[in-house]
Amino acid sequence: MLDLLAKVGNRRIILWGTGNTGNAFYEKYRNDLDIYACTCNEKEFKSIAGLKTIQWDEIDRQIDFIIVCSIYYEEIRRQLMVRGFEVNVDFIKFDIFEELYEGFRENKKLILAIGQCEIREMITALKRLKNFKKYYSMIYYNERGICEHGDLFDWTLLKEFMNIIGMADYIMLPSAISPQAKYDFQYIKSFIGDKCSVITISLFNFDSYWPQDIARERSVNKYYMMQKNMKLPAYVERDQVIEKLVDENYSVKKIMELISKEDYFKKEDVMMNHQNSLKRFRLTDRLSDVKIGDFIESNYNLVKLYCDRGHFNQNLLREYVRRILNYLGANESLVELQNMDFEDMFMRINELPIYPSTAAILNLEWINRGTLYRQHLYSGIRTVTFEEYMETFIEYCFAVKKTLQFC
Amino acid sequence: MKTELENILMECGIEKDDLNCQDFIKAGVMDSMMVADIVIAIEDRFCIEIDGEDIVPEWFVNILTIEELVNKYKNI
Repeated sequence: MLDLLAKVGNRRIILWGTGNTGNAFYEKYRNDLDIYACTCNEKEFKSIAGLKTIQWDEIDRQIDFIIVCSIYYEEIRRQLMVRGFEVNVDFIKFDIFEELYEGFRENKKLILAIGQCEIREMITALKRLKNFKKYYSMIYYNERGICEHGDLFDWTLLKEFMNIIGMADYIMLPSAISPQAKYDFQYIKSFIGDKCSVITISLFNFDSYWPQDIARERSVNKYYMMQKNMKLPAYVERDQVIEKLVDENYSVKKIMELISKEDYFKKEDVMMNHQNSLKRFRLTDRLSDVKIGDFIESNYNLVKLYCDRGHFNQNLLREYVRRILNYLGANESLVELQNMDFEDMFMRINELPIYPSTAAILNLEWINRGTLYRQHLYSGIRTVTFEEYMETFIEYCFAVKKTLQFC
Repeated sequence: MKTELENILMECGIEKDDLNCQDFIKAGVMDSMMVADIVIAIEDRFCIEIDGEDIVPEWFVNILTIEELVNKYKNI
């Protein structure tokens, strides 16, 4: 990893942001860094611990280096970049600074991770392992933000990423199958240093638990299409079974009776869906350094592995992290991993309930009548049974049907 | 073989009207699930195993390039 302070050079260090984050950063590094002044967007503001204050438009990139300690980092990044400041060269976000600075000081390896929530969760989990953190710095970038195919593509974020990719010892990313992702990842890999290794992770949607979700791409199943190609976001993944029954004007009670039957789905349909899901994992495993298909195949019916088609839960997260540790030869962190609870990382994920029919056909041993699911509503999160979840969901589908008549 | 490939592509979600598209990728009809299912289907149908290095966009541009890919492995 290159010396971050070499980038700073002889420039004065300015902290941008005088709130809690700025104060905490100053407190942590006041004895290690020669911090010259603080600033923010306000004309008048309170200093950090008596530090000199300067107006942000007096900052000169030739003589000043900015560490941004503000929750408005993205706006500030844009503000500075349109004025010729280069991200990760003339200014840097405080937490990235910390990873790079402490990484260099303690001779750590740098992992740059690119992906969506799954990769982010893996990095979050790895960062909780104290022993692993002694040897590795880790920075995560959202694929949706730095890849041209991403719906959140932001050129300022891409520039930020490109200005530190040369420092990475490892690039961790999912093995891409979609052509768009392949092109984007090939482009990114063309900038990595000679000594950088690429670690590909096997990732795919897991369909087995939800044969009722027939959309081919998850993104399609998150929206209702309206006039003029506008999209109405769905509250959760759409359920084509419920939508069909709602369209056919079945009552809530009748729909509940039907979907609660253990023979609602045909066995061959559920099994084909399941086998297709496993085949896709076997394929991505072939393209990946860190494989997972064998674990999923052996355990899908013994423990719950996914919250919905695209979000694994802590059981699978733990296995992914275990395999990454094995791959890196960091086995001394395995005991710490085994004892760690990651449930808090998944509180924001709505759990899609599993039909009794699917549970019976796939012999899902961890499901019974009392199994609870985390359901996100506008009013908050609740844990509910299959029946309670589906009754609310069916009412939602009726409401959507009515709303779409006007769209 | 072309008919077999057309059937495979339709089973994997490509609309009949899009089969003769010159570039599935530019047309936005090829996503990750489709590529995965096409690879799985052609491996099963033609008893071949495609190397990971060949699961790249260049081989999935249109039905002709997919046919070339299959022939590459059938001739090995």
